[in-house]
Amino acid sequence: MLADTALMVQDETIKPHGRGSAFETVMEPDFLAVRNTSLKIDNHLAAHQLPADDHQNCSIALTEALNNIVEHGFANLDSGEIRIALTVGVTTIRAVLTDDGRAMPGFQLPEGAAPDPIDLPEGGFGWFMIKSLSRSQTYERCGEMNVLTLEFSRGPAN
Amino acid sequence: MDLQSEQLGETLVIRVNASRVDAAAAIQFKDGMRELTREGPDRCVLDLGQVDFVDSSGLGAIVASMKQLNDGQKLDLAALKPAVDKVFRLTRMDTIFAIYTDMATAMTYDAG
Repeated sequence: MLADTALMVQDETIKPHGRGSAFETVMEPDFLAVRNTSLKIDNHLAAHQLPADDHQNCSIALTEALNNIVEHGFANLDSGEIRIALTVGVTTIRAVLTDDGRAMPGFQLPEGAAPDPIDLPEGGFGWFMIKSLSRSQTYERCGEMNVLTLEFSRGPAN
Repeated sequence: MDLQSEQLGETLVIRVNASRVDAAAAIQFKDGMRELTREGPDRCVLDLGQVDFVDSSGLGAIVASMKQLNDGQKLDLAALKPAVDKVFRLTRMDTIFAIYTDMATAMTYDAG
């Protein structure tokens, strides 16, 4: 009984309820899970009736970030998970992505240069898109975990 | 990946009957496009009117679909929704495709 209460209290501190502003989920590191999570994030953003640009920026950048974690962080790894915490504030939308995949090379974010369209590139756009669409990006390697925080500006309602 | 093709005059119209062209669908999309464009008219139009979302892998698969065309074939795009249009503009890949607002406009090319 005591343990139950303690758990409930702990839950309350992690995820304040009744405001509809926090979204948390855990996913397997594969592309189908990215699709499902991306759709869930989309629904959550839609509930906030954000300006269309803000909604699109956040939705596109988070999908790219998750794809990159699956493709690079978890390449040839068959276990682990990715956790997503998204808060939609009055002026800022903040997403914290935590995973136990491999570290980013050099423990830092990729440069994210844009590929030249003339070369007909079939990839390499991911971090360019994330950096273009978000206001700030921070990455930390914490023990065996990667913690990526992306922030987006939230403009006035339509 | 549900791709539906139809020849209208001298144009092969390929409609994507899916809401997303993403990393989970990219290989299937590219393979499906190869199959549909293997033979047929020189002009192909990809109708993206049902597609809400294209990520960078989906974008790469559309570019790959264009690169795997036969000599003389071309791939135009039509009916991009706002989030899809944004990805093409942001990456400047809108500069390497002819992009039409809707299918009706895309088909006037044929008549003209």
